[in-house]
Amino acid sequence: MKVDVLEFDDNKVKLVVEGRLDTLTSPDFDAVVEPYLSVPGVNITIDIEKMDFISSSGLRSLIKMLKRINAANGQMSIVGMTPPVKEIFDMTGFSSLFLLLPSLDWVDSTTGEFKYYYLGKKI
Amino acid sequence: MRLPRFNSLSARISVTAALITAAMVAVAALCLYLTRCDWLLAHDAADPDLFTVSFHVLLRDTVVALAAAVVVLCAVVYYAVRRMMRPVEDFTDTAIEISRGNLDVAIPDFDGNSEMQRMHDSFCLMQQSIKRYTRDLEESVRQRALLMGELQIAGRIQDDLLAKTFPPFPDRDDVNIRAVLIPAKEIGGDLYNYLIHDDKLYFIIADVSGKSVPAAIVMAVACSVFNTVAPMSDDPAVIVSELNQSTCSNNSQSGFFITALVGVLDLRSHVLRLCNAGHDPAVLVSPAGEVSLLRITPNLPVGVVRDFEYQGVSMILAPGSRLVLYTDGITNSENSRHEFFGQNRLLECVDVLATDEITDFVDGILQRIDEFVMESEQADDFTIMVIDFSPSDVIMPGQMVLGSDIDELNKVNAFADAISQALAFNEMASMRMHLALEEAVSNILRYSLSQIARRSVKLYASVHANCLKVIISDIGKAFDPTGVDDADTDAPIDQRPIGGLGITLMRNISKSMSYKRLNDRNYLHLDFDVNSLRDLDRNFTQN
Repeated sequence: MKVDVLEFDDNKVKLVVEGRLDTLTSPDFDAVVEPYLSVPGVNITIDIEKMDFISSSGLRSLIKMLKRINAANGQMSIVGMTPPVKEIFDMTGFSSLFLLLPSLDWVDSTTGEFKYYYLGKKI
Repeated sequence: MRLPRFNSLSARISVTAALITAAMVAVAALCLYLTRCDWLLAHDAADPDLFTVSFHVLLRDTVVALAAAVVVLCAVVYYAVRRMMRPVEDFTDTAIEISRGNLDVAIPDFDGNSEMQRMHDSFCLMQQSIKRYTRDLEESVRQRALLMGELQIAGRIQDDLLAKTFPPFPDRDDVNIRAVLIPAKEIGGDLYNYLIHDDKLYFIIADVSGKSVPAAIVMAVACSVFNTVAPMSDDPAVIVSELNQSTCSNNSQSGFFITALVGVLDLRSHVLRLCNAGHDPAVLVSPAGEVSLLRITPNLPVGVVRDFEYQGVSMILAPGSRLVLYTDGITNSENSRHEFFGQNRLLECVDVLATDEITDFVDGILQRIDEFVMESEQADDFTIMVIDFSPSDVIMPGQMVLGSDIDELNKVNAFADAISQALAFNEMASMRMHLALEEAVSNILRYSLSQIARRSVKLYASVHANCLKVIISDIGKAFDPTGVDDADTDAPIDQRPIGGLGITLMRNISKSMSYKRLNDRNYLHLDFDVNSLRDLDRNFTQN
């Protein structure tokens, strides 16, 4: 597993996850995201388009993350869901917990400006 | 009055007889005296009572005198007999005391050279002899009990040499074995054994010539040689040669030999290699239920010629076959009419029972032998070993063994990849396979294992028709994941527990999950529907 972190203005963070998020790799993932979880009003978007696989350990990392971000009045969204991963989210009811967005070239790579809106808000 | 002391029994009897005679003479003399009296018996009519009175007086006096004589006689006889019998009574009491086990009781002593003294001496002699015999008997019983106890211990040790847990390989479902060995005495010279190494089944059935202790020692050596050599060579001819070398070098004096049938079955390629060293041919039951003798190149028995070159044969064992191996104790079982059970009867039994489940099959054959021999004593050790071969339809990755380290999960991924490749899974099916295995094994590695071990978890996969079966076994503490409730997948975020998702995922992906605890191991069986795993649009949330 590999996590690329892109930090933008306004507490915006983009995480690009590649490979497997499972029992072996989720502790590394937890360590990478830890610094951002307590930032008030943080807005984290996780790109999982290149994530091959997620197990319940990966799901646990995500739910812990969501609880922390909610407590910090932040926002968390997931983009680029592939059908196999979508199935795992569906089986565990995670699809309804997370803000899931389709895979799109959703951020300007030079300015970090978000191109899309969700619920009337530019994200 | 005190009679003179007569020690001899004959003297006592003589004295008693003399006394009785004297008493009788006295009575007779009294009677004679009475008859000789010059009494006149007259009748006086004027006094009719006179005669009556004097006659009555006379009669009374006579009766009283007689009665007194009889009483005296009885008393004398009684006293004499009592005195005479006393030593005999004393001896009787002593004998009763001895018979009660009191061997140290004093024998009544009678001085003088008499019958009683001789009886006393014989009693003493008898007492000493009984004491000596009892001591000898106790000692020999003790020795025998000791020997029997040691033989029984030896029997148990020998029994422990044999694999006895059935089914022997609950962590895989392609091979099942059932074996029974019944020694004719406490210990015997038959042996069977089997082991799986590197997805190959190694097995041996053998019969050491002779019985009891010497045969048992040769058997124990053969058993350990097999266990040591077997995993090092998958050629049964090599295993038999090693066995031969070791038996010849340990056996230069005693002249024992072993008939043996050794086989190696590659559970993945289905190749069966056999080497027969003078043993009875195995019986093969084909998947269609046809019964035949597996006649293969015979070799010399083990332990006869040191450098004999053993030849093996190889064949493909059809999936669904059953191999029946036995020692000649089975075919040589004899009934009271001196008829042997024989190979033909055995083949008939195998034919009748061919489709029975392995345990019923073996029990059925033993029962038929029992019915044949009836009450006759078992003359020879006998052994039967049955091997059922039901491999996967598709060649699967072999059994994978994992350590207890969490990093071993990488191997689980490789195992899931291998299954996916063997079954040409699409991306979705492969992901489902990965997910189910990772959840099952990570649960074990994180929660169940309390000790660090190199061989903690075993994975095995097989496919029969459309069913993919994965057996995961581990040495951890008992834990039944099938008893755990599903996580609440509808709860909102703040009420969601962090854990409990893995079992929900396994349950959703598999067709069925079952758990059992056997010999201190957990066995989790996951059955998957292969078509359903490949189904892209399968809606799991509806499960």
